[in-house]
Amino acid sequence: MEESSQTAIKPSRLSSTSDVIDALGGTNAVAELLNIGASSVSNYRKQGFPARSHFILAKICKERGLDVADAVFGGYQVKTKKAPYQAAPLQRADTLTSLKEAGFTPVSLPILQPAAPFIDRMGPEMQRRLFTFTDPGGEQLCLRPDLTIPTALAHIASGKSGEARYCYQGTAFRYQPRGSGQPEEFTQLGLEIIGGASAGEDGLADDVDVLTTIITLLGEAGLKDNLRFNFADFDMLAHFLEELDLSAAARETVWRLVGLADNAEDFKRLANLKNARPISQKDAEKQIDADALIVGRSGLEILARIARKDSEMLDDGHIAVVFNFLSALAAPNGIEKITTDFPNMKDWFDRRVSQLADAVLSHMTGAAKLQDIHFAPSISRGMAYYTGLSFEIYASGLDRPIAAGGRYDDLLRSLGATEPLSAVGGAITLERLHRVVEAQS
Amino acid sequence: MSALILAIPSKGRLEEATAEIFAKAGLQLKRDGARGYRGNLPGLDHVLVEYVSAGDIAARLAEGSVHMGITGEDLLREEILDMESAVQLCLPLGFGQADVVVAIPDGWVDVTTMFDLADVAAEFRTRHGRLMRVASKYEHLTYDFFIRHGVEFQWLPSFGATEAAPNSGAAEAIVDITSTGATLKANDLRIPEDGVILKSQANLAAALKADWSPDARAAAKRILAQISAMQAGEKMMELKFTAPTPPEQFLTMDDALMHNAVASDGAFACTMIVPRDCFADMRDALGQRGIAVIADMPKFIFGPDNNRAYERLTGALA
Repeated sequence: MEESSQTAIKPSRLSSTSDVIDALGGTNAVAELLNIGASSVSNYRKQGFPARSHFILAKICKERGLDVADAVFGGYQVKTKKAPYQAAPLQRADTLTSLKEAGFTPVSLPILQPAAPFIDRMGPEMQRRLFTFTDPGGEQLCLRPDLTIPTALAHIASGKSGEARYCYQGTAFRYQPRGSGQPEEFTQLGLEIIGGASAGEDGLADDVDVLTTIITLLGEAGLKDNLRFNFADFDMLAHFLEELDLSAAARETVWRLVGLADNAEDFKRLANLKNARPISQKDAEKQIDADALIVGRSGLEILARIARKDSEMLDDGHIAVVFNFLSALAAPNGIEKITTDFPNMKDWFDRRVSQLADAVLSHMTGAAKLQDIHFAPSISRGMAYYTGLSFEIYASGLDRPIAAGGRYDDLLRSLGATEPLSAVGGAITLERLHRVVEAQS
Repeated sequence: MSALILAIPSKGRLEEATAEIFAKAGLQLKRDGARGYRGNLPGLDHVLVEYVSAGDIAARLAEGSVHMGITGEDLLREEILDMESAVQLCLPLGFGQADVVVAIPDGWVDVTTMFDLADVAAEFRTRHGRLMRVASKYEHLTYDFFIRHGVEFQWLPSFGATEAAPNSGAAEAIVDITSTGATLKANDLRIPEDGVILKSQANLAAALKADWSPDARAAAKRILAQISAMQAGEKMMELKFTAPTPPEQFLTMDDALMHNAVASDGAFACTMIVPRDCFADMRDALGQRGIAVIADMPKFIFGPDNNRAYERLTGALA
């Protein structure tokens, strides 16, 4: 009798994700229902159910006679589409104060920006995520998708000379497909060193400065260990190519193909495409008048590209060497494998790793080891303006970087600076940082 | 309101072609007045037909406010990001064929592949100080394809006479639909060897986010079964002939969907269903033996696993 009265208790309304998970039998039971891992379900307790599981879970709850508040399913997504994350963890004043003490000048930058510099310099992947519009005066504007280009534009407008160190905290905007669960507004806390030493002159001094400052900020926010670093370094490739017996044009080809290729296999595919010959020099000269203008390109330009073709081609031997290099780099113990397979790269890696390890590892406690550093030929798939070392910092439990940055030595010149200005910077996405800190505590 | 809502293009060639296909499949679309925006399928109680402007059908499917609709795959893929999660392409309908292609100036004789175009696009920045421009109404298809091929570019929205953009100096290349290529040729444009983005045609598509009641599912099952059976029939030929010996002695039966021979008075009355592309061989083999053949096109073939389209749909809805 006791028991039956227990089960007869009318279920009360379930008003949170956790309530629903518990009512359905707990984390493991829900993981089984959704055919996903239990750790994902644990995340749902904090973040809410993703849109794709709403329908199936709502159905199951209905079948089991569970009374679920609207907000748990449909309501969640609508309410939180713009900002599914909580407020930033670092107080604006405090953070910028600590950066100010470190020698960075806080700048306040317009949210509305001219669209052209972003379209021109960020690469198509970022370009398509730009919120652009035409203002009533007919000018093309955008909401800033990051604060690096605005800082660069502000620096050029100020007419300052010599080294400048800036810091900022502000909202940035990037389009995300509906239902992706990614915020379209987020807060960037960042710093930029403009007009400092270029990479060649003074090694990595400024790059390391940016990195250590960011790692310090992450530490102040309560994040200590379990960071993972992805580095891409154009200098690595340059050094590797120096050792290869290649013409300047062929070297340029490798450079471009590596930037394009997803992996070693893809590099091979592209290299073979590159070697296809569309038309002979003779036939082209018959068809094309060097003085003609053919939709934005001169006949001369077209003929020159065909004439260059031979010198740009890679022979099978070179393709194989680069293929092996990329494969080794992508291996789990990349750095170790590279220095074994390519002894001539050992000096470069030893130097680089020691520079970075000092910066990166000395600021870390606990689990951080050299193996937590990964090198890739390019990670600037998102941002096309990096020219030297670029980095991404990952924390456990989040598959997107919490901070990223790099060197962009030719950006300012292309944005209108009167002289070449080297520059390096980086930014933390505060909402992601906050999420990781919360999850770790 | 547990009926299945079916969105049909409201006018023009697409409406006519849809009505034809449905009629062939034994589904008579009945519109409320020639310009009405509602209709029904007599014999199917739980279907509400909505006549929707062709350009809006993709959006209606994406939001799930209609269950099924007929529209081009190009529009579905362009207008619905992550289309697979919102819409299922149930059956291609064989009309409205058009290729979405990249077209470049024919005079760019050094460019034959998208890879070449990536080369030229990179050169555009260094040589001309600006990005190569691509005019198109297909924003997302263009970005996806160009990013995949590593081509830097600037998208130029263009909603008419796109093929004229390169000659007028507005853009260097375009992404557009073409069926014969004649318009491209007339504008001195050419498709790179690997420049076909999508071979599109009209599709009967289903909205995965719609509210699928048992009645709506039953109606979808019927509609898909009828059209699938009609399309299966279109691929086949029915042969009837009388042979002096059992037909398997002089015909290979491997390709036949079904065959039947009845012996009477020392002859064999045969019926066979064979794929249309085998028909010519069969006819010749019979002709050599002086056997007359009656050939007919089966209107419908309902088979045990003929409604795969519906099985795929229920699989996606589960």
